[in-house]
Amino acid sequence: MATVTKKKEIPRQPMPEQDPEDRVGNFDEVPYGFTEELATLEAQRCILCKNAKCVAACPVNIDIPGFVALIQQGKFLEAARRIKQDNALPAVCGRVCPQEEQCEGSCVIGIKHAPVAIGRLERFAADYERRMGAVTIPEIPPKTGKRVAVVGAGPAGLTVAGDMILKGHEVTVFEALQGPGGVLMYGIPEFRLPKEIVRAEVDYLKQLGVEFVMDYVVGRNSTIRELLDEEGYHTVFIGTGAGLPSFMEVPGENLIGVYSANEYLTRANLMKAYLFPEYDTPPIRRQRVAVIGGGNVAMDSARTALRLGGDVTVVYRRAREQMPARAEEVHHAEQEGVKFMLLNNPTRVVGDQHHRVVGMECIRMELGEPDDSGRRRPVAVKGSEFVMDLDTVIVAIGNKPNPLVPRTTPELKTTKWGTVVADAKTMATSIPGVFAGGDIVSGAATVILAMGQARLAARAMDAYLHGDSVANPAADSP
Amino acid sequence: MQLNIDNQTVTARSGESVLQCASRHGIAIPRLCSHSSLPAFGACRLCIVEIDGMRGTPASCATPAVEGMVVRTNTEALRDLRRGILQLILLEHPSACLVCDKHDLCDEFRPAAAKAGRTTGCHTCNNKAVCDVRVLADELELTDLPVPPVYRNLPLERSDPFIDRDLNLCILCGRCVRICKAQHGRGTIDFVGRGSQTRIGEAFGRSLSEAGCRFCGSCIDVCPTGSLADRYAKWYGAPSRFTATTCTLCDAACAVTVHTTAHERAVAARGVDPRVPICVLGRFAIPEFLNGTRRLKTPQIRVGSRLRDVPWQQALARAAEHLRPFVGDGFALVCDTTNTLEDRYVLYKFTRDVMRSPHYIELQPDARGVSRAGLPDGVRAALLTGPFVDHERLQQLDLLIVQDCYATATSELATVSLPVAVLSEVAGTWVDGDGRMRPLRKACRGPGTAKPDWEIISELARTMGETGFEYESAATIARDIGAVGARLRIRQTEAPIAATDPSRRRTHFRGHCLDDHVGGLSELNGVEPALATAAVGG
Amino acid sequence: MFEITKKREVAPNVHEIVIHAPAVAKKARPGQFIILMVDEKSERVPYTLCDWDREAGTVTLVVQEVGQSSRKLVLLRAGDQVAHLVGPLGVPLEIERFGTVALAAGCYGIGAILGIARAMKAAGNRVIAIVEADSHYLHYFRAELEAAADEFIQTTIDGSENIKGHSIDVVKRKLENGESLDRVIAVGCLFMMMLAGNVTKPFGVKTLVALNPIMLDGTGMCGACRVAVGEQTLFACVDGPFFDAHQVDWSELRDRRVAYSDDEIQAVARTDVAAPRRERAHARTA
Repeated sequence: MATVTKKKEIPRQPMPEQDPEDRVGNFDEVPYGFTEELATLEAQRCILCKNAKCVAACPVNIDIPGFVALIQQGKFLEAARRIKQDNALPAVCGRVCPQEEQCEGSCVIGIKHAPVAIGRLERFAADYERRMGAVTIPEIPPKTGKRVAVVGAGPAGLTVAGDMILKGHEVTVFEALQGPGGVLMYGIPEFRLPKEIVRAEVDYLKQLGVEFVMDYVVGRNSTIRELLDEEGYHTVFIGTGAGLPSFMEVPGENLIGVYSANEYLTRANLMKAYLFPEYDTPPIRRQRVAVIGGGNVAMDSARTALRLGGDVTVVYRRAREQMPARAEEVHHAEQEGVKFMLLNNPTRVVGDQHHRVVGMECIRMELGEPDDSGRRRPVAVKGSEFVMDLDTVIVAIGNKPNPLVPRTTPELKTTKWGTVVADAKTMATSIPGVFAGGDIVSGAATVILAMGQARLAARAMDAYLHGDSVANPAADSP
Repeated sequence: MQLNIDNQTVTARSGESVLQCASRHGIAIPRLCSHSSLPAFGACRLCIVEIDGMRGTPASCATPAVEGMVVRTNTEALRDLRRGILQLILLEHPSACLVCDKHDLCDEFRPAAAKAGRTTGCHTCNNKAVCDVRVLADELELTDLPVPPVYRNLPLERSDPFIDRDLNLCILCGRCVRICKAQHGRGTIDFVGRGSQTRIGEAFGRSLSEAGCRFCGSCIDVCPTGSLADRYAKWYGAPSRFTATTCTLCDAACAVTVHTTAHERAVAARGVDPRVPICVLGRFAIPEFLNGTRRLKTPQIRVGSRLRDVPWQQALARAAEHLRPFVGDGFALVCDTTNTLEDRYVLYKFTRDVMRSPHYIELQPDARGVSRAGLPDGVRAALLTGPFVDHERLQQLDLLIVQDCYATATSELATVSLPVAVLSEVAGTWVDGDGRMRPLRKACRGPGTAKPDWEIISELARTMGETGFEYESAATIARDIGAVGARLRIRQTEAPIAATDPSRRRTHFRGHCLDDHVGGLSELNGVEPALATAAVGG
Repeated sequence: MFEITKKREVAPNVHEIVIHAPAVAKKARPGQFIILMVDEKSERVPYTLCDWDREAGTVTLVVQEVGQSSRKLVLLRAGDQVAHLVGPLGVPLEIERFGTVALAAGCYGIGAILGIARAMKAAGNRVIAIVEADSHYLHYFRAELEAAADEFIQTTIDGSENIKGHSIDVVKRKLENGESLDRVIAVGCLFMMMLAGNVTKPFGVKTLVALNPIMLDGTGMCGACRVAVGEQTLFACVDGPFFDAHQVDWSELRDRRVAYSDDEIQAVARTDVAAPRRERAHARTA
């Protein structure tokens, strides 16, 4: 084992990746993943801190030094199992977490050198276990006879399902779309998160005994109340996400050629439109594309548009440093040839007499005083309007919480933004026995945050099923 | 001889009908069953006229012009009669849209027809943009149907390759039966049944394929309604352009008219001489072949184990760089005679003058269109315009450059792969089986940035620093090589052999098996064995 | 998987399809729709819920073949399965005692108003069902609608039966004759629904139309189905599908509906080449 000094001399191992010029021609995953050699070498860099900061920074407190040490020793399968004690979806998280803001952002090695590539190691362990076909089914405690309804098969719902089944409860997951995964399926593209992995994770849950019901809309086919009162569920978890797309509300937004990022990505990812005509849903195959927004969704849309043959520009009203997207995604987008027009804001979309997009007017911005979020507010520069030549505009400026469950559940307390009010520690809602987590509570956020909340909810739900009372936070709050 | 038609003195030719004479003088008489390339039939009775001294209202198509005739073509009485005739014809044809009082507004609001299975009105008819019945209804100011129409609810015939038939739209004008007999000397289709049960069909209820249909498409070409339709083209509406060019799928070199849409997409090709049929390839294979999803669209170069999309300049630079060390007899170029004269001239010049190699191999396809060749021993580098050479031999090469229209196992081996525009995507001169020159005219755009062979090779030569390849167009090359005076093969004395004998029809083009790219062909070829034994006399 | 329990062509190109979908049948209400995928590679396509049987657990759709996806559906027969069916989606129609309610319908709309007619009548309204078809042979559900409505009027565009003209012409004549209509609901092609709005606007009668934009998910998360209604942009799948006819931007909706027509024609042209085998097999075993 190398000494600490020696460890610090090992550089952060580069991730083997598809060449940018190659990968714009396919939807295959961009990073290939560490080999065993690379993984072991990278793992050596970790000094296995006693009170590891990275663990605290992880929303689900994965035992990072624990699993990294196992990789150091070549015990890859055990590393995977160690991760799975805290994280039900490591193959997913290793790929989509914003590690630079979480575990890797707190890594002490990262103070002077590049942080340990914790996310890549997590991915490596999970992929290794899957490829070896060595996924084990843990022992499940005796059946409690309690039934859990999970609404939504996205990251939050899958996490709750995974936790609750391991506690001996009977779990049914309801999903409105035709397949499980939620944003993992329809939102995140194949080249960032292969659907095969999501399917493998879901299959694992099925093997544990979780029941999945597709094409089922809670709020229509059953209300939350009916699940509890008529259909025999003892507790319900709401994980319906933030799928309602936001539009800019500028003139011309209904022109043919303006799409929400959700529509664009759902066509490509869920409906596999890039395989048209083998798959029936037509894709959006345009030439001159503008993507509005600076988050991961904007990057995903831009890179998908590139792969569908477009000339793509991201238009964002603030500056580079303020872009909420994961650093790696912005980097990948740039490498692939996505252009960036920062400090620009659309004012209207221009169309022809057949209601088709022919251009978009933008106005230049400059940074002014900081706003509530601490970011410097962009201010329009008067008279700086210009028109871009376009045929496609993808609006990726954010999503709002799905309104269906709140609308059909009168006693469910919500905020003015439409999110469900839930206790920060237990994720309990204003209805006894009903819990919520993920984007429906936090607004559009990340997979790992959804999982973190799901973890808390599962713990509280289990306690509730065992007869413990759970505080109803909404009863006390205004 | 002289006649008086509508107070106009006209001169008739010997043997002409009154209708033909009137047409020649710009006097339009309504008609449906009459067709310029078919003998008169007299079925629809729409072309009735008044002729002094003749009883009743004779059909002008079936009345020979006679010296001194006084003819009236457009009296109120005639218009009334014709309207009545049309109403009777429409008894069994979905005609509501024709008499709808919101017809114009609806047309303006949504001009394109919906792609219905069963057509129940113009708004769901594939023929809407070009329909003779609609034009006639307009001309005759049809506003109502005094007798309730019936819908016979005959099964849709959609199980034959290429041709969709909805017999519920058929007005029994007989044009299809007549043209089939006229062109093929026998009737694959005919009137079946009698009286009110009459319909067009095949003997013994066979399908078209089973009955020996050659799929020349002439019946579709003459059908005035949407009853007979080209499955691939039917929902595109009226083509925006028609280009006369030469079909190069075999050396009969028939003239065809290629129909393209506003997006410059070829959607149909039709024969030009109505007296002879063209074969199924010329009629139906061209658009599907050109619009296949696996067409090569962008230049690619090999990076590691993959082919990567790059701009033309980069691909040609890479090709040039790799070719330089192989100047001499270690290089071979293989093409076949599906290329135009202009292509072949430039390909040859490139091989001789730029690569200084004696190995210019120009293949003559066999009777089925297959072109295959070996490479001389000692050849280490090759440029191919199609999958003509065995895989194992290609794997031995140090350098392979492919310029082709479709991705193949051959192009997968290439170091540089270049997308080619073919068939009606290019202009040029071609030589038919009799040695005559035929013109190719560009009707549509190639996919992506595909270019004609001559253009690719010229640019490659220039990239390699050569002069003498500054050609701006195929016409420039044609002048250089004296390929002038090419004429379309419009008048044919007999049908091309491929149109009458399927066993003599080509299966390959430029090394590609047409069955792989034209769905209806693989269907058709699957049924072929039955055809040979199911010939119907006529 | 959802099994088709009954299927028949009730009029040329118009197919009645009954599918076993208990979760949908249980909650179906007038004015709602479902989204259906024939197989795993299909599009997600919306179809109106025409009728439902809560006990048998079945829903009834009326489908016209107008393209590749609807064709895939109508080629199925009783006993076949569809891969996915989700619903009921959309906001149910407001059913109250309004007074006199006129339902105008054409094409697939004739089936669509069946459930609405029954519910409106049960709520104490006087229901007038006015159905139009191009010709007499395109009418269907006559007995069912006669039973469901207080007054049943059939029109034909070609005058081959009953009244000549459009259903909305009948509405217009009634209004001109001073008949009081408290609500008009129109379901049919875009052109017909637009005319409905134009006719009733001067009389100030509240008119609802079932808009049919292209949909992708149908549950409110993509915005493909957004329609301009007055000053607002609303999603047909979660705010509709019924909207105030007097506020709809018709030309925008018409253009948005044909946004993919080139792809759609290509799909029918390309995949239809495989149709011969399917159809032949279908015809032989039918």
